[in-house]
This record gives sequence, structure tokens and C-alpha cells, in this order.
Amino acid sequence: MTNETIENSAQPYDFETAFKTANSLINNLSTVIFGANKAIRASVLACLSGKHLLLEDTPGVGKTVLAKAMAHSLGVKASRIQGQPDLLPSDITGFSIYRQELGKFEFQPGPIFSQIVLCDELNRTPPRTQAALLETMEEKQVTVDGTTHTLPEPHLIVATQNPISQYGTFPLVESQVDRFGIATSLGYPKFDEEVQLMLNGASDTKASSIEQITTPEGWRTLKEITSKVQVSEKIADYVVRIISLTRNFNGIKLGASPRAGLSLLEVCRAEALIQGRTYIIPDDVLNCLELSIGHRLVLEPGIKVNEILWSLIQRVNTPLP
Amino acid sequence: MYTDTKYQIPKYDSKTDENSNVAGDEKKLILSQGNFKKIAYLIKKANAPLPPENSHVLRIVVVACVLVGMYAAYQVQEVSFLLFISIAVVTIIGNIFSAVTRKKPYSWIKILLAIAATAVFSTTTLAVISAASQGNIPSILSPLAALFMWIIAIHSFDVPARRDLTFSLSGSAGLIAVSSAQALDNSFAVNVVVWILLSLVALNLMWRSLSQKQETVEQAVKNTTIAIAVAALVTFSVILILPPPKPLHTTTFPASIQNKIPVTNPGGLTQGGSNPAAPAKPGHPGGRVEVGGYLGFAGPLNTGLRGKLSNQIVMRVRATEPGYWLGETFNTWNGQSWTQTPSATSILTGDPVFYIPSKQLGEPVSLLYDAPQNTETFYVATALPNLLFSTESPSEIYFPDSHLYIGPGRSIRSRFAIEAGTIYTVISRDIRLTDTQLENIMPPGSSFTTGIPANELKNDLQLPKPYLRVKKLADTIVKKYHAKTTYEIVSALESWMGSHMHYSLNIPPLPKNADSVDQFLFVTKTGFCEQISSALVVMLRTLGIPSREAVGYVAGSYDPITDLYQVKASDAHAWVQVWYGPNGGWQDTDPTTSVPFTTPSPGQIILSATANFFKSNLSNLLAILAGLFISISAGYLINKRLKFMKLSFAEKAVFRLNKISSSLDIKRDTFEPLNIFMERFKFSIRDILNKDPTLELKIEELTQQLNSYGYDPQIFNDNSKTKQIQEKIQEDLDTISKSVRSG
Repeated sequence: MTNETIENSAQPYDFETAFKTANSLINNLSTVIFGANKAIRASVLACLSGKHLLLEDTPGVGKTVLAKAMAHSLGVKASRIQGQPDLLPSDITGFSIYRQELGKFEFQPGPIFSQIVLCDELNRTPPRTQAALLETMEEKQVTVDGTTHTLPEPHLIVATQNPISQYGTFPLVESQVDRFGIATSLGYPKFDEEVQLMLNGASDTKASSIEQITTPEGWRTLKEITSKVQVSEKIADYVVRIISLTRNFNGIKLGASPRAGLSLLEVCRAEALIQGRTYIIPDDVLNCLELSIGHRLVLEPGIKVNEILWSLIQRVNTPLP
Repeated sequence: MYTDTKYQIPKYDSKTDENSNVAGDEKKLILSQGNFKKIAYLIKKANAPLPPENSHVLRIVVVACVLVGMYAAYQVQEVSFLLFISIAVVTIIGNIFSAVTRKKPYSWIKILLAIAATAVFSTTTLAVISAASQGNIPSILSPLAALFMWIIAIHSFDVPARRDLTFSLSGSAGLIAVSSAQALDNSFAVNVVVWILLSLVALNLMWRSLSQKQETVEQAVKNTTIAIAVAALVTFSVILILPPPKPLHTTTFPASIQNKIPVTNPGGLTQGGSNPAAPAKPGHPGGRVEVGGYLGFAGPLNTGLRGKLSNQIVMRVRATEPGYWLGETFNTWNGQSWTQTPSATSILTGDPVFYIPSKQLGEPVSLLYDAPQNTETFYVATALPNLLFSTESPSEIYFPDSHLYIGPGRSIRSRFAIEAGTIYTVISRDIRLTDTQLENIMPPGSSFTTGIPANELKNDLQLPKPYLRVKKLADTIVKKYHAKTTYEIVSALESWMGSHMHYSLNIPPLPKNADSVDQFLFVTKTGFCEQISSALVVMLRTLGIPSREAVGYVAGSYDPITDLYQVKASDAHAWVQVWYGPNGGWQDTDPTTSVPFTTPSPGQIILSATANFFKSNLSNLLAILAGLFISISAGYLINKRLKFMKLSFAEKAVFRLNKISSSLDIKRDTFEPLNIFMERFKFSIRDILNKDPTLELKIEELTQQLNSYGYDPQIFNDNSKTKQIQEKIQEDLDTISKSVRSG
């Protein structure tokens, strides 16, 4: 992408298109997955902000379908890594094999080189493999045998995680959880929605027949426009006040880092875009707070994220317009 | 549709904390077991080391409370200055030590403290035993006070936790209470007020430290003020229902004299004032001879002298019943001055209790026999003549000396000058008779002079000259009132004087060689107690009724806080004693005025004083109240206006929105973002919206405008756009406000 296109994408017309595209993405995903509006919204926010998505849920609620549908809507390739205790780092990044006819090693790219990577049951993989994956998330590149391979852009990892209490899991450590910009859960659908699901049959095939909304190029432009959403001083001040309060709050052992604050603002930008605004308002911050900050906080035992965040935001005055 | 706000999160409830439940279960389990285990558990729990108190401010305030308590004890002379300073220093050191070692208190310190406490206790016990064996009961108090202070000081070495600090605080409360009981005047209240303020601050700090609540200074001041108000109200209500205090009848009474300065003329009277030991010389031009302006307490009482009486407090009296504190009486009149004949004195011995034989003062034994006992303790505040005051008739005197003189005219005199700080106690038999008793005390038909010894009678009827004019007047009055008995005659003369004479302290000087009584009755017809009482005596004597002049002080004003009568120099008074036969003896009668002989309760005094204050200052108070009301409301309005003017445009807009919405009974929380608030706003006016669908669009537009005005950097960097939006917002607000009001 050249500088010119970036300039163009800031034009009002382009913003309008971006707003429409984002919303049609949401609508498109809703036709496939029933009763998971929160997760759909979160995944679109992830697409727009370029933040990796962590879904924490029990098996069988449609995580994989969501990832596949996303890939189809965006017109990109999706690959899937099934997290297992014997999964090795090279199973993700790829490896070099010796080609006798060429007389040299050739790199075989792993599943990570797709634009959307679904890592199912990430916490079932051993820490070594988790670490390798999470490293690629931050660096956006893979180094194998001394050669650096750049990952395609945009690049989105959708990881799912079984609830920690289940057997055979390796819990993600704080620094790794921090790499995910958004965390949410799908949860079970409501009764009516589940009935709808039964009537419509398995959505697996539907996911691949879903309408394509945009192209990888278009996705990239969407991301660019999202990053142009304005943040006023008041909002920055508001975010910092919230973030710093998490570091000194009864019930929170470990508060949010400055990186978490930055990440929160980027998610808020995506939220503002979905709402059709070129600037962030305090409502965006509150809407995205739990998605973006919730999973990064280390809480005292017995305290729930949504409850503690609720009592926390009650202590922070919203900046008046 | 309007209720569906985007950020709906259940309220956080601290009760769901699992930890507390676990602890509660454990407690329940243990408490359900046997009694022994229960008690063991409770003891263990009570003695478990508590978390250290980290608030240094709290520590400092508590130490300040303790020091104020110790200073108060020193002020009422419970302890000497040196002892006060050393205990205070030990306390400060102890608290610093505790603060430093609070996180890890040394276990050996407890043993050392126990040893120190035992040592102090043993010393005190020895001091008390030695004092008690000498019969000096009052001096037991000061070692006990010192013991209490030492214990607080020693305890301060081991105050790591908040609970320990509360012990120190309650210790200081004890000190203040003990000292207040010893206080003689209300200037001590400064200590109490300072202590109350400090302790409230300490309690507030303790609460903050306990609850870990962040409180602004404003809130703290507000809470403390409320606490003070509540405490004051409760205290006042308690005082209102308190019964009148009664002094305790202990085995011995306070008596002390600080500097034993022997008087220059033993058995004679001294002048008091600046040179308390010097002999009294009334009217001597060279020196100060009066007490606070009063010239009466001397050998002679010269009615020609005029003193100016000050409001200086001369003594404070704690008494079972108030009465006239009699100093001395006079029986010989020369037309201008009263003197006493004969002037012989007799010596009374005893240490420290003097028993006065009843015949010494000539009181009827039948009256003394079952007369109620009054206990009167005099705390002298100014140097006085060496007279011991008391109501009639003194029977026991507690005075720290081995000799007292009983002078002429019932006066009791000490060998030492009575200076400020002297304390003595008199137990007197209340021989005052009621009016009915006085009426019937003399057998009908008996002579006025029955029962009086012949040698005294001469003096008690003495007149320097015939006083024909006075006798004629007295006869006329007696006839007019048909008075026959002593009581009737006295009442007749008093009521005649009450209707024909005028009281004034400001009378012209007595001409040289003029007769004071004659001048008063026939020329000036104005006088104060000396003239009035002298006139009554002379009139009674012309009628043949034995009578004499008495001088002393009236009861003074009662202070319900200290339970003391405050006697001022201006309370000096002269009155008359009349002979009521062998069964009545000498009885007081006051032609000048009468004082109420009842002890009102503290509440009554405060209420009546308050009522009087309000009555006399009603208009002023109303003016002050009106002024206060006007200035407060003006200040409030101006402040509100100023605050509003300081707001930014958007803040003003939100302020207006709040105003509109408060009429709908909804209020924006400070953490509530605009959109959510607007949703609620729309919900509350849904009836109006149903009628007028365009209004909803207007509200949405307003929300959007406000948001972009406030949070879109592109807008507030562009002046023309800003103006445009401002106008639009105003317009929308007007529309909404109008429709809400009409709806």
C-alpha cells in the first residue's frame, strides 16, 4: 500500500465505506452464528484494530465456525492449529526440509502463514509451543534456521481456550495473555436462538458458503481507516485514569499496563468506526473496557471481572463533553 | 426499547467475598463446640497480635491527647511540674519506640514493662500507706494520679496496634475526667475542649485507618462537625436531666495552706489584699485596705467610707446548701462605725479538725441538737483577711494548723495570712429558722431580751445617743403594722423600709460628724446594705430588741459545671442578726434583699440563663439571624452563579440537561457517559416522545452534537464549526426543555 492510498482512505467518502463495510461484516457473520452477538462484535473489532482475539469457552459453541466465517467474509485464507500436548513449535511456524534435487534446504511454511489462524484449545499445548506462537504474534515474523520469514499482513490469530479448571490444560501466563487485544466468550445461545440453530442445521458448510464482503486489500484499508479515528485529550485522560485505578484497587492483584491502555484505545477506535464516528467518546471506552482489559487483570480469588470493573468505573468520573 | 443500555453489569457486592465466608464458617464451627474450647478460642483470638498501625498522624494525635490529659492533671495540681514533664517525656519516647518497632514488637519489652508497672505500683502503695497512717487522707489522691499517669507512660512503650492506641486514648479520657473533677473554675474547660477536638480527630483517623476509606478533608471536617454536634446534644440532654449535685460526706475534708505567713498581730484582723499579713487599718490613706474594694472586714466597720466593689472572684465555695458566708458581727455603734466590745479573743486548738463548743458562740443547744449539717469548702482565690467564713453556726473546722482564734463577734481567725490557694472546710449546723418557726419561737408575752446574758445585753442594746427621731419613727411603724412580737416588729420595719427607702450603691459621702442612720432615714433616704442594716439595728435597739450588725458575703453565683459558688468582691454584704430568745438565738435577717436558698439543677440554670439571654437580646438575635440568613443565601447564590460561569460551554449544556432531567426525577451519575444518560432521559419522557416523534430525533441530534463538540478534536480545533455546533446545541436544548415543560 502506498502513502497515497492511506491519504485517500482518510477521506470522508472512504470513512463512510469503511463504516458500511464494518457493519455488513457484522451482519454477515450473524447469518451464520446465532446468539453470539457479543463474540461477533468482538471479532469484528479484532479485525478492524488488528488485535488478536482470545475466545474462552467450552467446546461446541461455534468458535471454529466463527473463525472460518470471518476468513470467508474477508476473502482470506484461514488455517487451523489444533492445540495438543505434543504439539511442537515447528508444527506452527513450519520447517526446512532438504530437497535432494535442488541440493539445498527449502522452507515449508506452517499454518501460521495464513492471514487468519485459528488456534484451537491453545492452553492444551505445552508452554514451549505457546511461547513460540505468541512470539510470532508480537514480532509478525518467523525465524527458522536463521532465515526470517515475514507473516502476511493483515494477520489475525483467533485463539480459543478451554476454561482453566478443565483437565489437561497449561494456563497462559500473564505476559502471554497480554498479547491478546480482545478476549471474550461466546457462551451458550439463548433458547430461541438455539432452536433457530437446530432448524438451520450444522453451520459448518454454511460458513464456507458465506458471502465475501471485502478483499484482503480492503481489510488492510479498513485497518488503516480505523487507526485514523481521533482521540481527544479528554479521552486519553479518561483512559489513563481508569488504567491507573486498576493498579490500586481493592480486589485487583495486578492492574493493567500502559500497553493495555494503548490496546484499549485501539479497540475503542474500531468501536467508534462501527458506530460511524471519527472520534472516540467515553461510551466506547466503557463498551470496550471488559473486552480489552478484563483478561489482563489478575484478580483476588473469588472476584469476578465484570463486577470489579463495574465498581471501578463508578469511581471514575466521565469527562463531560 | 430505551431500557436496553449497552453497559449493563451487575452491581459488585462485597458480601460475596469467599474469604470472609470461610473465616465465618471456621468461627461458627469452633463456637458450636464445648464451652471450654469456645472460651479458649475467644481468649486466643483476643490476644492474637493485631496488625501494626501505620498511620503516624493517628499516633501523634493520640499522644497529643495523652499529653493534654497529663497537662490537665498538672494544672489542677494533681502532680508537680517536674513529675509532669518527666512523665510527658517518657510518654513521647515510649510512643516513638512503639512506632519504630510496631512491625516487630520485641517480646522482652512486655516483661520490662510489667516490672516497671509493678515498681510504680509498689511505690504508690508505700506512699499511700505512709500518707494514710498520718491521717492525711486528701494527700492520697496525688500519688494515685501519678500512678495512673505512670501506667499510661509505661504502656506507651507497647502500642504497636490500633487497639493499643485506643487504650492510650481512653487513658487520656480518664485523666481529663479525674482532673475536671478537681477543677475550680471554667478556664479548665480549655483543656477539655482541646482534648475533645483532638480525640475526635483521633477517632476519625482510627476509623479511616480501620475502614481504609479515602476521605477528603472536607468530608472529614463535615463528619467531625456532625460528631461534635451529636456529642454536644447528648451531653446537654444528659445535663438537663441530672439531679442537683451533692457533696460527698467523706471522713475528712480538703484543707490546705500554701505559704504559712504568720500575721503580724496574732488574734487580730489583717487587711488581706496586697499585704495579707499586715494588720487591718480601715480608711488608712496610705495603703490598700479593702478586699476588692470592700472595707468591712476589719476591726471597725466605718459606714462613712465608700469602696468600689470589683467583680474579682475572692473565693469559690462548694457547699451542701448555699447561705450567707458570715465573717464577723459588730455590736457597738458610734453613729458612724461599728466595733466589737469586748475585744477579747480565745484560742481554739485542734489539728486539723477544730470542734467549736456550742456555748462558745452562744447558740441555743436545742436548735443545734438536730440541725442539718452543711459542709462548706472554701477555695480562696484572692488574699483575704484572716477571717474564716461560714454559714451559721460553725461546729467543725478543717484547717491545717494547730491554733485558731475565736475573736469578738463570732469571728474565727487564723494565725496565718489567708492567701490565694488556701483551702478550708467548715461543717456548720443550719440553725436558720423558717418564718413560721420565727413567729412562734418566743413564748407569748415574754420580753424581747429573754435568755440573753446580762453582761452581753448591755452591748446588744447599746446606742451612742437617744435617737429620739428614730425611736418615734420606729414606734409609729410598729403601731401602724400592729406589730407585737419580735418577728412582727422586724417584718414591719423591713417592709416599711422596703416601701420608703431606695437602694443605691452610689450615695453622697457622709458629712463630717453626721450620724449615718439619721442621715439615711431622714435626709438621703438612699443607701446600700450598710446603711439599711445599720438603720434596722438602731431602730430595733430603740424598741428594746437586741440586735447586731453582721458582715460577710452572699452565696455568689452557682457554676453547675464545677459545682462551686463563685463569690465575687461585689458579693460582700452587711445584714442584721436579731435575738429570738433562748430557743431561737441569733437569727439572720436581711433588710436589703433576700437570696433564694435552694440549689437549682444545672439544667435549670442553663435553661433560665439561656432564656434570659434570649429575652434580653431577642431583637439583636433576630437581626443577627436575619443577617446570617441573608448573607448565607446570598453567598450560596453568588457561589452557584460563579461556579456556573466558570463552566465550559458543554458543561453548561450538560448542567441544563441535568436541570431538565431533575424535574423528571432522574439524575446523571458522575461516571455515567452521555449516551447512556440520554437513553435514560428518553425513557423517562417516553410519553412525550410518543406524542412528538420529532423530539426523539432532536434528542439524538443533541447527543451527537454534544459528543462531537466535546470529543472530536477536529471540531474544537475549528472555530467556525464550534460556533455552529454551539448554536445548534442551544437551539436543541431550548426545544427539548420547552417540550418537557409543556409535556
